[in-house]
Amino acid sequence: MKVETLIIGSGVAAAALSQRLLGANPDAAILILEAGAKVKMQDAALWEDYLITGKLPYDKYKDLPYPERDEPGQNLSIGATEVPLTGSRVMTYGGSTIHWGGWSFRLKPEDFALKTNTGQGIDWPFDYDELEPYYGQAEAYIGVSGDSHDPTVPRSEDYPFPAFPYTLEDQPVARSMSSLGIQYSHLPIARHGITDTTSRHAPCKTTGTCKYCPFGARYAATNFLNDMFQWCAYPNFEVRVGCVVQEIVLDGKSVAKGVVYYDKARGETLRVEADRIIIAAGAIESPKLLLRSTSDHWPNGIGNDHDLVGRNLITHPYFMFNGVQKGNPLKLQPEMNFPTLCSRHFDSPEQQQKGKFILINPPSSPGVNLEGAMQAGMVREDIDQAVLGQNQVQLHGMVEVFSELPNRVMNLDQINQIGLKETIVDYSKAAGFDRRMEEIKQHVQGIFEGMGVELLPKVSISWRADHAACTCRMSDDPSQGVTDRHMKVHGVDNLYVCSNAAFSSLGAVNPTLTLTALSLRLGDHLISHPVA
Amino acid sequence: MYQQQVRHPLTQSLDSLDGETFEAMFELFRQIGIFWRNLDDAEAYRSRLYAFMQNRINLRPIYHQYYQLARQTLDQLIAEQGQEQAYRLLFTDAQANQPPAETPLAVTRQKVSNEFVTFQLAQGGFRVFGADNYPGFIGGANIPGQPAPYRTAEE
Amino acid sequence: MQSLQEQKNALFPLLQTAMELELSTIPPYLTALLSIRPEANRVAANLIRTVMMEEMLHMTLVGNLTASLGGRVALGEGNLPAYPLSMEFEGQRFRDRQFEVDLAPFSEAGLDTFMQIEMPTDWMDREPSYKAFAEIEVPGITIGAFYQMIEQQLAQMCAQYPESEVFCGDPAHQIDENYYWAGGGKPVVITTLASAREALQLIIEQGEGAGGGLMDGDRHYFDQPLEVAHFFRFREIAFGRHYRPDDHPKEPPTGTQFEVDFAAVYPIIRNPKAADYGGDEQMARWNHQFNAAYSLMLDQIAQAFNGNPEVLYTAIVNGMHSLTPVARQMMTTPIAEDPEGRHGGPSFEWVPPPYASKGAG
Repeated sequence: MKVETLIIGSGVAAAALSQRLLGANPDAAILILEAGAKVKMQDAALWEDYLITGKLPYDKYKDLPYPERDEPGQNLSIGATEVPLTGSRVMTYGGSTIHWGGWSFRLKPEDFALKTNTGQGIDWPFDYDELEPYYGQAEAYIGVSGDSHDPTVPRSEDYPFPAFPYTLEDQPVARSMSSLGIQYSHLPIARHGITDTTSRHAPCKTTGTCKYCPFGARYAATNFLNDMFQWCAYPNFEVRVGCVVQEIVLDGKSVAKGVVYYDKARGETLRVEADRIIIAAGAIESPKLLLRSTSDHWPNGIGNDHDLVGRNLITHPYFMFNGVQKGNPLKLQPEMNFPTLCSRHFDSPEQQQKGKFILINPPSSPGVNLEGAMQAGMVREDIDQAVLGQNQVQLHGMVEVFSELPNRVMNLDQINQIGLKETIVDYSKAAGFDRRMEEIKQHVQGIFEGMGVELLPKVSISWRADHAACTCRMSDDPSQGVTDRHMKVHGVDNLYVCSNAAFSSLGAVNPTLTLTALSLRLGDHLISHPVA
Repeated sequence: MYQQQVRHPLTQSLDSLDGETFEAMFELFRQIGIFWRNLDDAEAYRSRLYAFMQNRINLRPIYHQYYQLARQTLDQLIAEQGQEQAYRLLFTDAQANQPPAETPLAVTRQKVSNEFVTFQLAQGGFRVFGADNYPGFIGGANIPGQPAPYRTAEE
Repeated sequence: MQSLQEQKNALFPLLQTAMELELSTIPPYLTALLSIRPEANRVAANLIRTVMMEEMLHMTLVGNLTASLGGRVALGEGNLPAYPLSMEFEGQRFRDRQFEVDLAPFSEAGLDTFMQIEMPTDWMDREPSYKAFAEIEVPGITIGAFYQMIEQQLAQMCAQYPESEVFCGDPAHQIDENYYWAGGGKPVVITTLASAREALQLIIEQGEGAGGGLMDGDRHYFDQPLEVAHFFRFREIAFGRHYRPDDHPKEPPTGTQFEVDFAAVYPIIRNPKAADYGGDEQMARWNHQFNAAYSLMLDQIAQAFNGNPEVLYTAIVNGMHSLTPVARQMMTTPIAEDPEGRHGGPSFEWVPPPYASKGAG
């Protein structure tokens, strides 16, 4: 069989791109191949199970931890810095938006000129203004609640839904930041609100159980794809789950012809041909697929003549500072389970050279745990005292790091529970990173002091690969990047990488909104460049 | 609307929860609110507790037995110690809270009582501790012009 | 002169009838919708879905009106529609219910029935007798006229008594916009005659269209490209074509065409009863499971209307979300050894929840 557009992976990139293509032509022939399975959404029993046990119905589609002496584990970490894959992604229909937090930041204009401004990494092949209209469309598509008057990033249209007000838990942080002249703003978040338009997607009911929303209010590609299949008349739109793409097949050097995939349910290896192929399999799997698609024309893998595929890997170190507050007279406690206050004060041109960072007031602070107290058998009086008394306080954030050639992902010759090849991750943090964290700590200490909170010495830093990026980065120069300004693989006419892998750099913020904008932009590009 | 059901295959052949076991479990739920003084109107939660228990069984059929065992255990404990002391023991006994649950009392505590505590807090039991919203509580939407469904900062 | 309470007591049975009337449309719409094979008729399926959603809103509005007057709603054994259904009022059939409503697969004939249900007053053979509004015994009343009659009785009460005494129910016990989405319109919390009129008008206009036009009357809430009233949405399916804004209501639609395939449906049993599944243990089990969940949900909806609105969330998340998978399972499965080769379908019969409900009274 032959389709017009073949998309590998079914996450937000695939969902947004197909939405755009089908919006222009409802008869467009699009096939999505997804290695993972479907997860039942909005199920009361599964939701309550998550509430009670913390277990999610898609936990089994996450990577296992790296091997330990007594545990076989999965994948290999061979660099000096361990970048855990466990928990960083979900290999399922709908991809990682099934579990994400929904934080929906735009990059800032200076992020597009990283090399020019700092000498680090590379510039993006286009500037912020090019992407700005697509940011607006992406916010409308994934349904972002945000503050349209927030001056942090220029915008030409309002958010579709108003920002969630700051919680009372935000108050001490906000006051301290104000006194220090540190700007803060509403965290833009992909939770549907209420407006005067009907939507099949429910508005957020602030259940605080976003990892498995009983209403489907937090954007998940799973829900949006389901909606397209259930209620839209797209006769030639298809998704096949349980289909693991083994390699891309070329016709000569510069034309992608199709893919070979293994259909797990049928137990067969099959082929499908396509006019154009979009790899939308995330920053880990996308380069791995190119790397294992070797031929006489591309002995090192497709698009890899400059040995860049899978390289330049970065993610966001996510830091958690802990402190102790002596008393809690306002009985502050986790009410929401998603944050409402962030600061992009240090996500600025002045900080770009050293690594921009953002700060988040997490909803888990102060760490009052009513459930734990009652289950442990504490009586009411003791719980009341514990709520009012000394509590742990946190401030979170993430910092930009820069791509370096040796950091990369590769295929490991073992198959995981999904049927995908496991991953070798080779990452070592830069020499100056610890010094940068010390600087960040000074800022956090100041904020904590303003809150009357004593900073604890230990800082947790997670290098988890949630925001892995740049492994097939865009550059107009094939010696600098794997893909061009339209995320097309250099040297192949009809093969694209629509993923965080194509980011030229990552900035200091969550990548999903930018990926959504890039996907919609790619959709427009494909519509205006129909296949011959 | 077109999604598949999520049910354990074994629950197909199980009888649904019987009225007597449910009433015993509802009494346990009510006693949680009495012991911690955090939920006055347990009656308003009757059908929600029933739906919750039915869902636990649908997902894991063994819950059918857990609930029956909890009923027997509580009946016996109440006969021996009286109602107030029986529930106090169930809610506070440190031994019964140690996993794995290997005694009837430990099963009742860990698989029933502790789960009901989580459920009860999320249904509204959290309010007496000072907050307006709580993870698992359906607080309502963020509607422009109306108060937020949680405590907000003064700006 | 009747006391206010006497007047209210005379109105409550009408509101209970209204509640049952709105509820009665939902099982036939849901059955037709789910009987459609998922790969076909997506436009038609979506149109039926939106009408069904708005019928849920109408139930909510009637529930709010009842609560606003200090009344109670009953949804349980004895108040549930049984199919084939003909709606009666005061011993008389509704004039626009001179036909039977079936639980049946999506079909041309079924669509005719749906159009009958939603038919605007001005499409009827004769105009309703407005003179009769003051009396309760109105033979051959239409649904639109029925709601106008309720509105008039409210106006009479408010002319005699302060609105705060007429609408004495606690507004916190009503269902607000938090509880309704994915369909047109919004719940109206009723505290005044004006808000009561807004709610009743919304019901009438979403069903029949506003003032003899195509539009469904909730356009002041919604910036939709074109959301036509229920009757006209079914006409769109019948013609396989959308309306355009300037189309004449009494002429066929002239907008975009879409495919309607009446063959692409599962051959489900008409008006099933639990007894029909005696020879198919699995189907009987699914049907019981469906009915138990349906009954639990209705009991919770009644509790929500009777002063405990939060329970509606459980009715939505636990009830509504769990009914359709079972119904689909039944409809995609042939009934064992059925000589006609029919597939199953839920019977929408009452299975008492095994707890003593204190709220559904």
